[in-house]
Amino acid sequence: MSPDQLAFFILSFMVIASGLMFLVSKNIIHAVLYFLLALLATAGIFLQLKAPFLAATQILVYAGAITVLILFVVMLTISKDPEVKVFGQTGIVGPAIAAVSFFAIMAAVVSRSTFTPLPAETAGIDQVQTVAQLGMELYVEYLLPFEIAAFLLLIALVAAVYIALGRGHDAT
Amino acid sequence: MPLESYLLLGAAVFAIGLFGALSKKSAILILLSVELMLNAVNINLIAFSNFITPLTMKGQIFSIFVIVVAACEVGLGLAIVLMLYRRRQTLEVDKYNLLKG
Repeated sequence: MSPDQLAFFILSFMVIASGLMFLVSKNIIHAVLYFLLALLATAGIFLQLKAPFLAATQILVYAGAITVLILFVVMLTISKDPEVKVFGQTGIVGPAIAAVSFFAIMAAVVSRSTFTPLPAETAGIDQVQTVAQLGMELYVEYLLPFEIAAFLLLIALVAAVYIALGRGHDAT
Repeated sequence: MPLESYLLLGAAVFAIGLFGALSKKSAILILLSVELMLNAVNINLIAFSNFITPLTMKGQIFSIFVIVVAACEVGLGLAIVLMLYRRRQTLEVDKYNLLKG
């Protein structure tokens, strides 16, 4: 087994195992930490796919920002008597059928498809992709979507502050 | 590794997220399950980027925007979760049954 394959198997085992532990853990803080572990292992998958910038962004955004934010909210809203039930009243049979059939359909589709690189891009197969290249693509070719995404972040920030302020929340 | 194994990993992570979003009791964990599904999409996009368009890296560009939208979604979602908690003193989605009639 080549090192490449070994790394893939270890990382994907980490992603799937911590995803499953995220589903079944009773303590909500443990669930959040398992979620973080799944995302960090995904960052390793990104490194293996020659996307170092995305791996760094994944760690910065998810580990640095989102998980800390979620842990703050968990601690703000933690209940006095910790509920041990993990799943809601929908039960687990229906969701399990949905998830398993989705995976089965995707596996069937993937196993019947053949993927070939675009004819214009076969030259890049073994080429090392650099962050500089990605930056050129992002700021030259995709400048307008980039600006729109920045504006979307601003809108989300303002809206989150407005909602969380909860003006007139005692009117319930 | 071939492209197919990455796609299967993405499908498995998406299925885990789907199961969590449909079955979890806590509103915060439902939000996290949706994040897991977005993350599965990112795995697929970057795998396609690496195998189909290795020169222009279109998938990587797209997944940057997916991460931006995921960050927006978490920010707004947590604000809504805080507001819900302030109104009902609980985060269990089963308790939000005001519209049941």
